[in-house]
Amino acid sequence: MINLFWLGFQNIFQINVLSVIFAGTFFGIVFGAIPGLTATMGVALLLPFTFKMDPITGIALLIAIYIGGISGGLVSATLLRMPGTPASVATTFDGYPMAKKGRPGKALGIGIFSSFIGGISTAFGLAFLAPIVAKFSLKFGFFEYFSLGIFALTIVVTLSKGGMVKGLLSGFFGLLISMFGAAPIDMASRFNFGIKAMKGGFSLLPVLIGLFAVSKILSEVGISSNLLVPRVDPKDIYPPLSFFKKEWVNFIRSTLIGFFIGTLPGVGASVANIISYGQAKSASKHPEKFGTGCEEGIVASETANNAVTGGAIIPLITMGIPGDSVTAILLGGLMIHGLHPGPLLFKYNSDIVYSIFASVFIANIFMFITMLIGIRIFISLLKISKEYLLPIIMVTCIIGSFALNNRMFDVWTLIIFGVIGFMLEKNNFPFPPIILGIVLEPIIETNLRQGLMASNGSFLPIITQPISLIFIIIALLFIISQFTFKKNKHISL
Amino acid sequence: MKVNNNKIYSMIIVFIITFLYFSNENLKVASYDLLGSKYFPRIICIIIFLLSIILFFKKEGKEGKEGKEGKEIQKKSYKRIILFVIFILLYLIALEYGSIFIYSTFIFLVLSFLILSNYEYKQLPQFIIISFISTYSIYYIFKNILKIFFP
Repeated sequence: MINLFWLGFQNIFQINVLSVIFAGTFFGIVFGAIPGLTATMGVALLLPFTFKMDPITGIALLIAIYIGGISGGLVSATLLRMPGTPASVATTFDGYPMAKKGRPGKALGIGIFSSFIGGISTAFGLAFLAPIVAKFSLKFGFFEYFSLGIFALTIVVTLSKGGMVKGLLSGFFGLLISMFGAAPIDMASRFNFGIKAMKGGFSLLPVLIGLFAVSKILSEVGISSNLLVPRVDPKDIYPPLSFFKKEWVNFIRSTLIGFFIGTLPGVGASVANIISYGQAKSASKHPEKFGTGCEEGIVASETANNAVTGGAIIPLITMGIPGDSVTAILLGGLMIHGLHPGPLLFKYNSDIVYSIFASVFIANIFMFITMLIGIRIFISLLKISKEYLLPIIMVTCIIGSFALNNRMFDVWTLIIFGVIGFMLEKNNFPFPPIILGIVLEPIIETNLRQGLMASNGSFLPIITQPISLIFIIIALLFIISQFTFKKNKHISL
Repeated sequence: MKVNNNKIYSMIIVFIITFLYFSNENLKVASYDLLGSKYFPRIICIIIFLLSIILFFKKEGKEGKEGKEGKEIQKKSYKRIILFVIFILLYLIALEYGSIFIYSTFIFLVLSFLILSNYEYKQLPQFIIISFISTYSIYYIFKNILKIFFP
């Protein structure tokens, strides 16, 4: 295993790969820092440009953007009370009040150090736990994967922010999108309406860029921006040693929460930062200080959202199940490079797996350095007017989608899903269930149909196979607990 | 009278899903396995149909608190959004029918800057310069560095 780690670091420690990771981290931070642009969007936008790269460089670039994007959100969350990414929502609760009190540098500094601690700790967790999970997942057959897909699909319940009905509709809409084009096994072309380009279905990437990026661009077109950025004192950025002694329990707790939530398919950093914040508040001796510029709140949010990154990569590479929307695109990235995430990836492409681990380490270190040095640049980027930024991003989205297959059909897909996404967002239909549906449909359908062929048409293995049964039970318990919780909290379904 | 958005969305979804359901039923497939390729789309269409009916009868406003806390698009901004979408569509049609990328992108950017700035004609020279630089920068980076084909 040590040899494999060494091999992974050797692959990454090449000037071209390191440059790409550095550029990706920088690009990711910029995307994270600009409100409306997210890590998901950054990864989706740059995915087509990895086609020409070798798999290790391409995947390292995407991971660097992911880590940079999650981290960069703290800049606008702290300075503008606008979460640059959904992962930084809880950072606004205390980061902004602290900045408003005249300590924006301190708030940013705490956020940067917390992001680094969360990110680097989770990289260790990823490196040591992923091989164990991979060995376990080798025992998975068709029915186990089917049940895992069903379990992952139940996460839709927690992701249904705009109400349960809309969340479920979004999830099933995602499943339906995935059914356009060639079906598994018999390759029957579903819903092609006689259009030749539709026979293969929608490409994942234009759908994702459309839903996440184009819809957001359209929303941002209609919003007048607030570009008030407070002055940052660079000396204030470095927290004293006593701060780390005081907050070490918070760091560990938030890292564990982030890492664990990351490993759950489909949940992600946007949930982790809020849960971690809530836990920090309930464990604090001074919960009344939360929301007024409290250090603990920033630590909890920023440590947890970065800790998600390593956790989310575990189900991605060991089972091919994405932990959040960014890893869903990363999954697409791996597949585009001819890699099929799952236990066999460890067996046949261990060099790539350990290079992924190494790139998580390096990207976290680069993120930390870049954030500390480049904080002034990122702040100045927030001052760029949206009237220039949005049309230019739109053009890059179009080029990126065209580059996928060199056909205009993908560009039209991009725009259509952008408009659909805009309409759905406007009426509070949540997006994460759509992504979950899109990526889980092939897993569920293919494995059930293949499983039934293997079992001569018997559904019984779903409950007679122990691992499959466990997933089904967990899924049922999860749904019951969520409904009970919501009932207790008097939230309308 | 304020129209309930849930009802509108529900009716649109029901219409589309009914169309997709019958489109799926008319699909000719070979039966290699127990379920076949029509099974999953059929189930999903039925579930979406039922959920849409529930959505139709749901009152608006009880849900989506988080969404409403976010930035709300003002009604006057819709005109700007629609115009922006029209420009995107014209830009794509131009690209589809063989216009040169640099020219169409330059025009698209200038017009978009103009809409998004609320028609600040005084800034037009600035928009032209930024569009020119942006178009050539994008073209150079994508074509020469990233070796990407253009529409």
